[in-house]
Amino acid sequence: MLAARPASIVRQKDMSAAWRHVDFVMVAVVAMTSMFGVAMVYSATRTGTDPWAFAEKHIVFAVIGSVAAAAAGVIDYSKYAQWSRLLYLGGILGLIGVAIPGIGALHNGIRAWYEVGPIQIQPAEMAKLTVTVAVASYLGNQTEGVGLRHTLTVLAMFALPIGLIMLQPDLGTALVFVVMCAAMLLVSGVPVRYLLVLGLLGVGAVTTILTSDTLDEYQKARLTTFVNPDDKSDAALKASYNTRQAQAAISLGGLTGKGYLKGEFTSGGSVPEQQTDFIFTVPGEELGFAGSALLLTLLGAIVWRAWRAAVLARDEVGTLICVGVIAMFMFHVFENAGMALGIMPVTGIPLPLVSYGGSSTLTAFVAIGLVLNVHMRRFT
Amino acid sequence: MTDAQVARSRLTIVGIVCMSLFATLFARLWYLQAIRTDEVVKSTRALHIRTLHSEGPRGRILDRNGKVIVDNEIVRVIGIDKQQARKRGLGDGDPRTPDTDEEVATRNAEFKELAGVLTEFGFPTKFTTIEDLFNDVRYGPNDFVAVIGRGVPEDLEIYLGERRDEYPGVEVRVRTVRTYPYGELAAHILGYVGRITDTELKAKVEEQGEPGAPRSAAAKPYGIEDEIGKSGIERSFEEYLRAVPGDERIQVNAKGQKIATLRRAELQPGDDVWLTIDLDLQRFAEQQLANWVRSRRGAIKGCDPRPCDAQEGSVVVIDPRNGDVLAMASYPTFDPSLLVNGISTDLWNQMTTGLKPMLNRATSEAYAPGSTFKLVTSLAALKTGFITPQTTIQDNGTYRIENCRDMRCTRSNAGKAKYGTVDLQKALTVSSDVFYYRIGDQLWVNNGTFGPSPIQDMANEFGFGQQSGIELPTESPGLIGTPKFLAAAYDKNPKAWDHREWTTGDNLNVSIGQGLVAVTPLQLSNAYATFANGGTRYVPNIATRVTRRIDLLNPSDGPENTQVVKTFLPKVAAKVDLSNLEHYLTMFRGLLGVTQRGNGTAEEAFNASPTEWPMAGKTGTAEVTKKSPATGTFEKVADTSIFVGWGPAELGTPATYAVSAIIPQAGFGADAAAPLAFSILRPASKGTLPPVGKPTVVLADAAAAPGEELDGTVAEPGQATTTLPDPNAPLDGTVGAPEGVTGPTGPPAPVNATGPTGGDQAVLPPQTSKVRR
Repeated sequence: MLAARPASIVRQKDMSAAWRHVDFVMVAVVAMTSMFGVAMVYSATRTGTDPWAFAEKHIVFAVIGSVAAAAAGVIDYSKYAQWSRLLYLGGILGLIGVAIPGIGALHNGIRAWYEVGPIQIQPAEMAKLTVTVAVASYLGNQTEGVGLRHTLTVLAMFALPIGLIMLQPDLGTALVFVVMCAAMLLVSGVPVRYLLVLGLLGVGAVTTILTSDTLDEYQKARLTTFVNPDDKSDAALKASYNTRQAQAAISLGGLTGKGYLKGEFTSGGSVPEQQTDFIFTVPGEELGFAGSALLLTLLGAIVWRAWRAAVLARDEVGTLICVGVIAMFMFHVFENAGMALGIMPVTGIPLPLVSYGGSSTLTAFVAIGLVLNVHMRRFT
Repeated sequence: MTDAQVARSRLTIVGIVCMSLFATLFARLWYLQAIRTDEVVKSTRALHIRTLHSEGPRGRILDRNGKVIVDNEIVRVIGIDKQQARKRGLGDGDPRTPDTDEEVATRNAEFKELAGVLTEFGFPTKFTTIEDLFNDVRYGPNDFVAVIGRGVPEDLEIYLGERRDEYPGVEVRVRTVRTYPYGELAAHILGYVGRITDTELKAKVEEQGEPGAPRSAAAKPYGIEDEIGKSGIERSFEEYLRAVPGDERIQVNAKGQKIATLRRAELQPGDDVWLTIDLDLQRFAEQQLANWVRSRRGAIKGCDPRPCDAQEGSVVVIDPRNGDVLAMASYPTFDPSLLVNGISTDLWNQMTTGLKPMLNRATSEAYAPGSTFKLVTSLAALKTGFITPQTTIQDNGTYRIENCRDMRCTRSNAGKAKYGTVDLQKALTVSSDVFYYRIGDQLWVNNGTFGPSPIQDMANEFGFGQQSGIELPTESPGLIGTPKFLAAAYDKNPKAWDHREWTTGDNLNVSIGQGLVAVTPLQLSNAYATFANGGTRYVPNIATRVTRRIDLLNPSDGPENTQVVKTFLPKVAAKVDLSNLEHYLTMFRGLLGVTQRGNGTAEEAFNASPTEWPMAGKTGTAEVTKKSPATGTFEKVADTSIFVGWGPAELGTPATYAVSAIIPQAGFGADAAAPLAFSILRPASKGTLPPVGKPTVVLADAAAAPGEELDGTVAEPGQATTTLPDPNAPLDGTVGAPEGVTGPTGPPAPVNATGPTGGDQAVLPPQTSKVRR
């Protein structure tokens, strides 16, 4: 009885009723996934001169991300929806700015980063969230149903950032936007016939892009190698080298893995870009099927909780925000794990919460924050 | 349907899509980790484990007194370090990680330039050769690929050294090669080394395992560029001479960089082999042999009626007390240093055809022994009881075969000499063929009593007709023909033989060491060594021990700095029963008389060059026919001159030398082989052998042309035309050597079935053999 009193006092104060509906399952799963990620990043990078260099930074990103996620949950997402034009504009300006040589930093032929001292910021990551909120706000507020005009507007809202990202060029991130666009249009209630037309147009566009000079040779090679694994030409072998190494590493893990920090490929640096694009090979080799399946289950649980939030959301805007996040999250997971497993072309996008990288980690946490935001305000 | 319902149903679609995507990931994960694991474990092992192989220096070869006959020298070679090449943008030619077009183009340009530079400096090299070497899949991606594997001159080294940036990946490295401080000396015994062939490598991998994965702890795995003994001691003692390679099994990452050492075998230089050869005696024997061969040409004393035309010969000196081979000379000879870095096809053909300078005639060629075979015939006759030391015959120069209706029923002594009353001792001393014809005739006629092959059985006891077991490759077993052998050979190839059943004529020939009898010079000296020591036939021994230096930096080969790995003790092959003292003494006196009595066949020769102590022995003059290049028929050529004997030939004093000398087409045994043998043992018996002197310093690539004095002058590298020894010895173009063709030339050699000996001599119908003293 005594113990119940303070609780009732809190309830009476009702400072933040929403916080009592926080999805603790989601919080717990995200925390576990993030810690899992730190362990994987450490394993992949510990053979460097400073074994903790990457892992330490990754922990810092995760901590900042957690704070950012909490911050994203503080203000009711309807406020974000009100600011959606500003947010969208900010995201686009960020992408425009980074395209300007001298402002945007060039790495490996891709101009996608702002460099502020030692910190690199990837505006495309932030744009995923601002575009999601903007589109959710636009579609969610169409009380008369979604027609052709709205569909075209949404397409335009996505086309702008996609175009800017292709300028960098970053095919993988551009594809994330495409998937997000498709998912949000689908759930918003766009008539099926529009979706079919869009699907056909999409197939046509992909064919055109692959046969034209829009993509660089290396990008094409990555895609065609995936489709045609028996191609033994030099360029094809070179392109498929990473994915062959990754699959080999995963296969070596077997059912139970080589043991944490005991992977030959992982400790030997035999898989390129292992802390980011091919992070999935670390659990694959060292923890085996057991560990990899656990990681996929954790990521699946996040998607499940986000989907649940979309279902439970108090309004269309909330649902669409969650759908945007689900699409983004799902695509990242499937593409990242899929390319390590050899069933997706190599496009170089990170595994959310697990891969090393400040912008992507921060984005993932803020996205989770938005989902939590929608979930905990389902009754208000 | 309301908007909310639509949203609901479409959210369900999203959920289903997400679930299917996760299901796909799980399925693929299961496929890779549960189904494909074993296959990948296998294939990735090969991809990420590499071996750094380094062949160590071979052991040296020393004579019995510690003179180094084969040594190593460090030379500089040019090649491409694949690891460097990859770092410098040339790729590595490894098909598992394909090189880019740009890398290939860069290295092609560089290799073209390099080929030009090498050619300019006297090493004609094609650009494609370098590219092919670079792409040879048998090299690992971190290997050093030698382009010029022999010593390069300093100016080329400096040229490349100053232009390291222009030729990335190209490096000058040191490598050890064989050197021969005494030039051609003992070349046939030593043999030579060469790069391992694919066939040899396959066999060795089977036997020793691969570099980094030795089959046993003692294995010495071979790499594709390694050297291997091809002939002589280098081949038969390969297991000792070869170094334990310094193989390192490493794990590499995706970029080919070493990340861990898995296994490492410490490089250990090869062990040294000490020969039984006395280099002073060897050098002297080779010199004397060469002199005698060269001098026995034309119509000179002992070369009648056919002029002599000596082109080849051999000498073997054995210690009868233990079977140690003290000297083994074969003429013509060759310069092993010419073979150090490979050899041109032309030169190789010159060395292996015609007179075959590389053939070790002492062990690998078999000759008709002529009268020297009477040692065997005498003991066989004594053993059967057909004769006793007291048996005498009347030798009036000819022998008529009993019950003979053939045209060739009469055989004569050499020069139709008449020796009067002849007993065994005298028969040996004067070399009465008539005495032995009678033995040959009667032993065969009465084969019901004496058995089908008493002479051949005795020959086998003395080691004829079988390999002696010396540790040298390609030894010939010789031939001791029997009735059984002839019948079998005829059945196999009737065209090559004019009869199948053994005749009295065949037996007559065998009794005087002609016809179906062929012996190697080594067998001959070993047989007389066996008689000299009282009946112990040793396996001729070529090496005394194998040692290892304890402190490699200490140049001493003394016992304080050497660890004996293996000792080769005298090995008894068989005991010949010489226990009948009367028989033995009669034989001994007969053979002693050859040099010591006025009527001895070699008395004159011995007195011209007497040894410190008396010698016993036997001359031989074997009649030979040879296929004439002009007519294609077999024609008689000058006789083969043979002598075999021992000294000191004093009862109660152990014999210390048994010597055999054979010079084909050199005339009477007493006129060439005997004086040759005495000339060699004379200084040996007096302890006045001229010392072999200081080794001549010969650069591996700069050996003087053979036939010239080795004076250390540097010959033009890559010189294509190297003359063979003895330029005044024209290759007579005869098909097949007179005795014992070992090569693929010549008419079908019926005795090939028994080994590499035989040939024309054995094909001859017995009737053609005539007899000399």
